[in-house]
Amino acid sequence: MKAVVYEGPRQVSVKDVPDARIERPTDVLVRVTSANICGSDLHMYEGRTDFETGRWFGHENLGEVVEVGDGVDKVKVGDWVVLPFNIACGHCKNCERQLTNYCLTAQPEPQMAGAAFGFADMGPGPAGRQSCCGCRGATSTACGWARTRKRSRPTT
Amino acid sequence: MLADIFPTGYHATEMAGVKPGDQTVIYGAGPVGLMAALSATIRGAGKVMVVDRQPDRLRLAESIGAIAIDDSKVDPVQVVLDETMGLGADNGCECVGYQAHEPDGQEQASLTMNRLVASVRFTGSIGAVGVYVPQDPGGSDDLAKQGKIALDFGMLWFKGLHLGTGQAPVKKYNRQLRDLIAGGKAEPSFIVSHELPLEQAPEAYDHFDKRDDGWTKVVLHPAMAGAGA
Ligand SMILES: [Zn+2]
Ligand SMILES: [Zn+2]
Repeated sequence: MKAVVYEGPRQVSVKDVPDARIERPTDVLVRVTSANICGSDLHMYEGRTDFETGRWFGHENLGEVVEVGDGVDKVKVGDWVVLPFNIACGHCKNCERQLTNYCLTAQPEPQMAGAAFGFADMGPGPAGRQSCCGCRGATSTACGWARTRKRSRPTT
Repeated sequence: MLADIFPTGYHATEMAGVKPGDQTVIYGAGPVGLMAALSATIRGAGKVMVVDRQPDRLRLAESIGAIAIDDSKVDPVQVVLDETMGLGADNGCECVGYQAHEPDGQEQASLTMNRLVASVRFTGSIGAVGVYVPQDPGGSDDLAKQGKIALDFGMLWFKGLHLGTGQAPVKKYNRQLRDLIAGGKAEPSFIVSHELPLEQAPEAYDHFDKRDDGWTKVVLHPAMAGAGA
């Protein structure tokens, strides 16, 4: 699949990256049809964060579900979903208080909370477990989760 | 829109406690600031004031009924005071973040926060969704490098202001905002200037980063004609 890859300050390229695939029973595979450029990307684009080169941009994604894991029954293939930029599990202490912006389990550094995610024509996500309220048409909502190695600063 | 900016703009107005009839000032008319202006309007604000210096963004703010304030031409704090009988706005939103800068490009991370402290009336509230970071090695001064800003905390305390911060909990709002769009009550797409194939991302980032006129929001389509080459 293609993704917008960060090459260094004020440099991005569109490149082939490994295809996203279902890795856990709670994953959902989404073919991204719209991905927006965000002002918060510019902090990374300008080299003003610890975002590493080689990682890809994009956290405002909309697309069609093309595959779901065995543990997903709420979201179905063919659903149109919007992926919240927050990466969240839906069941930790913060998520259960609606604070999916400060999920405790999606954050790789245990003393931190909150995480976010990227541009690619397929996005990996265990949306099934947590969110996914789909709706037909152009505007629907779901959640996503990128198994990104390490996040940069929280992006809005 | 629902993945980030509309919920984020809405969250700013939620933290700022915007209620019907309120006078609300928004610093920053990028995509999030414009979504905060739209959200304040939806919540019934009586007067929405938006501060920026990019003419294309200010025009978009005006297109939804907000008062556009160009801080490269006027003192935005004074304009807000003049618009609110000298009292200041009921509440305000910070939609710029740590790379806030003077119109000449000189960065000053405390700029918008201190203008908000000065623009919002006693006991008012501020919702800050612009990104600030714990360290900024590229910052313009020693404080900024350490992720600190010289906040007018004395005045903030003296006025009894409330301050909400942080990234937005998207799922707290996205269903409701989706249904406002579906019901024809909100049209966040008014800010979209370009819909391009994914391949054009490098040019699009360049234009958007330079704040080139008319590049207010770019939507990339991986499957669009011209893509996939
Ligand atoms: Zn965004
Ligand atoms: Zn969680």
